[in-house]
Amino acid sequence: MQEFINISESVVSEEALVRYSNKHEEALVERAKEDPHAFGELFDKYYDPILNYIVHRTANTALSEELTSNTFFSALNNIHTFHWRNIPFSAWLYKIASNEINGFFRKNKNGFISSIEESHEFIEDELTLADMEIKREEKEIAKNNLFQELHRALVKIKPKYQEVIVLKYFEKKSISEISEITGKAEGTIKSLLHRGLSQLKELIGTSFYGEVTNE
Amino acid sequence: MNKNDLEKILTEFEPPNIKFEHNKNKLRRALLNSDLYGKQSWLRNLSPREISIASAFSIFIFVLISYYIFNQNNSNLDNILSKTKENYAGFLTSNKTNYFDSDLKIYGTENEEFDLKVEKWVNLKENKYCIVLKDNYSNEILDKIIIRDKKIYRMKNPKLQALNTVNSHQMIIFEIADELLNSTEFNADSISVSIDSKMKDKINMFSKTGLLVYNSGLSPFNETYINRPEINSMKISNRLNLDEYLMDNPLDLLKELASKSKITVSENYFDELLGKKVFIVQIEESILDTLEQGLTLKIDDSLSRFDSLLTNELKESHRRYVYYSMNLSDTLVSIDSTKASVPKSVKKILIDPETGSIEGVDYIYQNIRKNIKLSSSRFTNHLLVTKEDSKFDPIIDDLEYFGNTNKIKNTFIKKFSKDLHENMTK
Repeated sequence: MQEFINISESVVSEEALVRYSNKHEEALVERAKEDPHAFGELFDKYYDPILNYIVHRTANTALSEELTSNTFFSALNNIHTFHWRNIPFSAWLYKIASNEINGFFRKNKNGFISSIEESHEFIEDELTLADMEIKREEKEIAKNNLFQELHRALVKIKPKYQEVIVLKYFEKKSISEISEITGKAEGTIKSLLHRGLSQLKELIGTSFYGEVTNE
Repeated sequence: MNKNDLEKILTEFEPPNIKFEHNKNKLRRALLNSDLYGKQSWLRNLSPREISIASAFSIFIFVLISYYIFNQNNSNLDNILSKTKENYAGFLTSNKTNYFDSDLKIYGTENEEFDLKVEKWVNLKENKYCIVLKDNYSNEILDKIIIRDKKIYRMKNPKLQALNTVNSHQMIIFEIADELLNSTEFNADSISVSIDSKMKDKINMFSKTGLLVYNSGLSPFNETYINRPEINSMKISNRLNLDEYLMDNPLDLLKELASKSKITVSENYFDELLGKKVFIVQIEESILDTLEQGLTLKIDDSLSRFDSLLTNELKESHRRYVYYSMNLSDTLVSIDSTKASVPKSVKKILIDPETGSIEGVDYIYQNIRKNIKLSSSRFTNHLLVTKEDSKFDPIIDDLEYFGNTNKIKNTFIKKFSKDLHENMTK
């Protein structure tokens, strides 16, 4: 009995923590509408997740750097329109990032090249620190064979499937979180995941599985 | 492999986790210093009712102004149509260039003859000129003009007179953020522009036809590019109190700076064109050749010679054009290496870093604009040029589409390296 009470208290305490965290973030977002430093706090918290989400979608470090910039500029520009409705600020940022990515894919249906497919030809002498950073991370991505394989297949399926698969398996988001980000019902998300995985499976084939299990 | 296998792999998969410390800091600075803050805040504080009232009032003012302009135009039109043939002939004689013969005439649709005050003839390229009108005339008036010689383009905006003055030079344009100029750092007695050895090479490449352009225009990304390493290598230190000097009369300051060094400063050719304060600074080749650690511009009382020097230089019109840009980082990216070049046939293209729109060329090069697509990456602000139709007048015949920003940089440099090499060694 004593153990049960402890567990219950622990659960309640965790919920309270989440509520507190949400309240804190809500207040921060409100302040960020007028105060750059508050926006800076949000930026510090979400820059890495958003950047990595975009990298996982595009597999292109230079492009990701740019789309991440666009995402945060867009967020800054529109933060006054954000109203807290029990949907986290992060979901809103992911949504903007998704729009940036999808917009980019729409504009570059034939011309998009990921870092995996073609490494940028940097001119060493002219590299800025920013360039060097992009290049360094590009090399890191290139070393990740499994990611490369998955991404090659991912880019061949529709963006709506890419989006949910990446959010679910790369960003480790729950169905309800994906639902908040995409604005789609949870049932729809499950359906998209199911169809997306089926298509992905066909594209990847057996050789991939063999390679992965051998690693 | 079945779907469950794939799901298992994906569930256990740890994707790459990348870190951009430098880019992150750069973006953070740009965001927090962005002038997006404060914009529209007063609007957001208005109630819907207040917004409705404000909107109605704005519409009323707009209608009022439109009515006024309409009446004004009609009266201008009447005046112009009443001018005599003698007046018209007078301006033609006094302004014509060698290129045009005396048979050139401008007529109204019903053979009215117009007396439009002409500022100057502008050589666009080879046999093509445009007339820069001294005053603003309404489209209603301009539409009545038939230019029978098809070699002459009609300019809708007289601001473009500036084009003629820069059309033969490759340039490096750099922009100093207003916020930096306004900062308390600018309190010393002189300005120095330090150019490290790497930068020297870059500038050296343009010494024959090279110009540095000073631009004090606004940009949303001021802090960002000023903090870029390549910009830092062109430091500005020991500054004057630029609040007083530069903001009110930057030309005077630049004249002073130039006088002590072998640097010439132009008149304010770009001011009208861009709506921004832009100046041309020319560095003599002899300086660049001996330049080691840095180039220092200091104040001197004697202000001399820059006018005539630059004017003469600019009069020697070639067909090579400045192609862009609005800030230093852009320029360094695209013209930076010893290999980079502006193709000789590229016209001047100025890109608004915020909107990606072209400034300065849309009036004249409407035909070109239909056939190319220009945009700029919002943050990194690189140049993108798309050629959509290869059949148009080959003003930008060497350009092609480049994908993302890094590819632009590298492809651009590669693409035109040969051009530059050839042009500079001729």
